[in-house]
Amino acid sequence: MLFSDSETQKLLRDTARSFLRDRYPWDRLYALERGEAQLSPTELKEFAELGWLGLIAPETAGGAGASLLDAAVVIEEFGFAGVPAPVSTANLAAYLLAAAPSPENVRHSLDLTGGTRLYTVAEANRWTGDGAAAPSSEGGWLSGSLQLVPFGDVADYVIAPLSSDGAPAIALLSLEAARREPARVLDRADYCNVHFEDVLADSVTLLAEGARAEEMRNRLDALSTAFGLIELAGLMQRVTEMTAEYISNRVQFGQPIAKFQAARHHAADMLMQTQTARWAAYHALDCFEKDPGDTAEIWLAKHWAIGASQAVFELTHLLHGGLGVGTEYPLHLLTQGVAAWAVRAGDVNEMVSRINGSLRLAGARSAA
Amino acid sequence: MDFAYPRDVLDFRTEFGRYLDSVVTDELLREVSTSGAETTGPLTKAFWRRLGEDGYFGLGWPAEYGGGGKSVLYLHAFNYVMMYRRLPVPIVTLNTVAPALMRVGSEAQKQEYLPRILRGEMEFAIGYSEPGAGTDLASLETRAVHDGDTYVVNGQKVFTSGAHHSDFVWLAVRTDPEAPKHRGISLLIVPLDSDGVEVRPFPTMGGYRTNITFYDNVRVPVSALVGEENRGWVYITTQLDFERVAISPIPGIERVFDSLCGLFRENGHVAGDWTRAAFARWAADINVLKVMDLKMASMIDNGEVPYYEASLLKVLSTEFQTRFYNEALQALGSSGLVKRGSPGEVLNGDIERSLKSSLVLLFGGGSNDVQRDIIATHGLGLAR
Repeated sequence: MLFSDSETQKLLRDTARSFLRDRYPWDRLYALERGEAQLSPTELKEFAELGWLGLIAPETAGGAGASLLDAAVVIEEFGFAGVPAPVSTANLAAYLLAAAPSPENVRHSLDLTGGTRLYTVAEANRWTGDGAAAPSSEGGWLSGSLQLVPFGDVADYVIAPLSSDGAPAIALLSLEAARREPARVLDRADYCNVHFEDVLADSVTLLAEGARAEEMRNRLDALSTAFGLIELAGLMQRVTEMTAEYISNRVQFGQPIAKFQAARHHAADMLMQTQTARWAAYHALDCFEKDPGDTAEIWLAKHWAIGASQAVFELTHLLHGGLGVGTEYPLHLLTQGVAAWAVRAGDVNEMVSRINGSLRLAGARSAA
Repeated sequence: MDFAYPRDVLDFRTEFGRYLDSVVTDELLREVSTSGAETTGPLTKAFWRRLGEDGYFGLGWPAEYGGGGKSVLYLHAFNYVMMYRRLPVPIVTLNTVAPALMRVGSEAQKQEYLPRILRGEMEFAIGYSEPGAGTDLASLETRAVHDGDTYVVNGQKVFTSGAHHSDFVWLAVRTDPEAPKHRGISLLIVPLDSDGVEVRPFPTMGGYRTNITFYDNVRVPVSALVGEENRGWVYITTQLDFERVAISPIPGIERVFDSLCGLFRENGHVAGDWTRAAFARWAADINVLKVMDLKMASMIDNGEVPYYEASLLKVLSTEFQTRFYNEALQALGSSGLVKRGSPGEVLNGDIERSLKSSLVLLFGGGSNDVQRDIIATHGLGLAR
């Protein structure tokens, strides 16, 4: 047993940490958050050259064939850097393409991992629930909408739920003929609602249908939740480190406020919440990797992360005081992400239902 | 990262569970449940001797001391299984006294004590806290003064748990009152049947007994000194990090949680919204405690000494357990308040009892306020 990075993971982490530190100074993050900049084809190519877009894709499909834990290390670093980038979504897409390994999908996977086209995934927790009806493909025509597609402003393809001649399916949809409606969210400016208005259905590639589609949806739901929790853990760690640095330097009543026990204890609680959320997420991902039918721990980790992220969000702002809420100080770029990722990573009602299912309490859904 | 629990340790857990099935009797369980884990009855003493004879107390000890030389993960599995089954473990003797003796004890002390501890024949109590030295332990005032080839001990200790059925007290004393407070402390091994030792009961709300102990001109030979004179503080603090891991309340919490799930699952209780949400929350919290507990065991197994990490788990687990038992009472409603042995008891009255006994761990093993300071200093690098 080893609760620390392997040699491969250290290398991945160090590479990502230094690359992201150099390429994404605060002014770049401000521009992305305000919608004054977009992910560029050059950036996508760089991510591809570093192997990050297809970390978990098989080598035969242009990927690195890495483990989910290895991929998580890179995703965590994007969280730590506060950089909204399609590494997590690209790897989710690669995971789904690999689960439906046709020659056409291998070609898509090669485009994805090579960074020549951008593939995204409609947010899994929008796939069910009110107002999230899937687009439908009937009689050769595709119509309907997808809400809140990450990187919907620049993506070439999206993987999404689809009603295919009345049957549930998961499909790869070309966005070439779609109408994109920018949607600002709490922390980001790169989401779009995507509308298919009687588009020819030859832009649709079915990845799974019927019971298989349901199985893949469950897996995607779990994996996107786990990756989201990892990204959240990275953000929380950065916020905690920034807070420690701030209270060590901020002088009030003649001494750094880190000397006051109340402030020290708040900071200690932030570290506790961060580390526990992090290890719970990694451990859950490992369970899923060993048995993709075993998603129970992912929902438990999500549950923990809700409280943990709230504590970090609240305590860092409490300790930073007025400076922390000022937009000239970059803390909010990260804390907005903390609040948003805690929501984005997995649906909360699904979570309670799944956990109670795993406890076999009456009236709950099975976790697996 | 590698989160796999080694196959051989899993096998050991299974095998040890079967062993316990064969040696734990209903009479022993009755003795344990009526007297509480803090009191060692005759059947418990016999059970410990059996465990000792069968090699379970020395699982992780080096072979040179008669141990099995197994990794700390075996010890972790042993403690977990015992505590989950609510079977008493002589924790301070095994986790505090024995490792310290191995590290800094004299050859004569090793010869005298370790084999008997290993056989489950000898029990120690810990004499650290005093009326004026709790969280600020280094302010302790119990004095030991050289007189020829003996030390003469005078003072008072509080919360000397187990002193009424132990053989020795592992006593922290001040040997140099002129030195800075952390540098004048030593450790002595004092027989509890020595002249001048008085053990007075200190009942607690959780139903278990601890003690106040008095030392009135108690004489012990200088050979009772552990390690070097005035180095006691170093020995105490190093050992507390391991003790914080060893006294984990997690198996006990898990046991109650599993029982509660069983009750709601099988007895036809229909949980309301609040309770259903609480179950999900408890499951998530317990999962985190188990993951962090494994992390701790893994650190020790890989040769690291958990420091702020041990504090982190201590704070989380102890604060969770008090909240959990409080909330579990809400889930059970007034039937949860019924004490063991009274009509209408639920889950043997475990939850109301566990709530009360959980409080001790908020400060036992180092108060949580001090733990948070340790986390701030060593986890985040904040200057004191």
